[in-house]
Amino acid sequence: MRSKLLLSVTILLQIILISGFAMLGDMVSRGLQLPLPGNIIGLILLYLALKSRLLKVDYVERGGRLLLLVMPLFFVPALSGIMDYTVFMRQSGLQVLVILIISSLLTLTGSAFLVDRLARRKEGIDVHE
Amino acid sequence: MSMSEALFWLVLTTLLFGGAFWLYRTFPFVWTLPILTVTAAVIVILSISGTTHAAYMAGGQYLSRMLGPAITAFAIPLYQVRHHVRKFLPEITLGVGIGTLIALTSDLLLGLLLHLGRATNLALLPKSVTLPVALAISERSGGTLALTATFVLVTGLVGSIVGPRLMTGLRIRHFVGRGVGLASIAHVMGATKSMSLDQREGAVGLLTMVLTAVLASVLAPWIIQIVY
Repeated sequence: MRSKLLLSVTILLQIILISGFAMLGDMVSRGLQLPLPGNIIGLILLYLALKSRLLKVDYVERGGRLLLLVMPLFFVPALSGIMDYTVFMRQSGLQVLVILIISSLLTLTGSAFLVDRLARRKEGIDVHE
Repeated sequence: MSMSEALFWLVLTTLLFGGAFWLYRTFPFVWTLPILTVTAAVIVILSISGTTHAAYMAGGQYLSRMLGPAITAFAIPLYQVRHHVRKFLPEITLGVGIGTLIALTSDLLLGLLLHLGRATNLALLPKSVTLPVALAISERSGGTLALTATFVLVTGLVGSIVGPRLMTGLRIRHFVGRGVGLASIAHVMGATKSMSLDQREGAVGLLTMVLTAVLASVLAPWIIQIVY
């Protein structure tokens, strides 16, 4: 029981630490007027802290894992906003879906095809097999 | 809006998520994904109780705010799998650059072609960018936020379902090609799918997701300015 409580507190503290990096990222993004959102700056800062061994991965790993596990929960409020757009979805939903699918196919084909060929060449695998 | 009502929606959504998580563990299908079932449940409950989405957000906003730390937390798995991607960093970066350019320009041009309204087109633009960053891009350019969230989710679903089969059809077999391909359209959902197939492919997917977010944030304003 005691160790369970200790684990919960540890995870909570780790989440607060990670949130601190996200907030720091927000401050940097706003302060320097960068085009990158604060959470990505926070990601880069946290990565650099781990890489430079300023921060041991043990200090954030459990909290980070929980945050990523429950991330779908954080999407729900923004996503449920679609309830105010039923008329729009009936009018333009299909149009948007067509664009979305064509654009995705082009993107995947372009990027994957190129990278696949480059990676195989680098490893000396015959492209034509 | 009273504090207790905000707290009620916050707690209810969290409890629903707990239930949905258990449901997905027991019946793991695409249509039992917690993000779908919880969103559907919330919409049904709000509609039945005659609550507006704006009123719901009094509690919901606290969940939305946690998206920032969640994205920052991706630094941890990225750090842990960095040895898988180091060798292919130039290839991945080039692939993400090409992918992001294709995604952004094809969205805007197809939107103009099919006479999509400006706010809708701008909401669609970051559809392959991980959600918190997509919302930031949409907000800065004047897109409709609720639409961006929906488009990002639909793109992630379509991509992670169709993507692996499509790449097999295109004979894309190298883990670097597959990781970049899937995550460059299906962002975090693609990277998660890759991770479940192969750890190295997942590592490439994670890096692709981060690089796409960075590049799209920088490129989107430029491309909007050129096209509009």
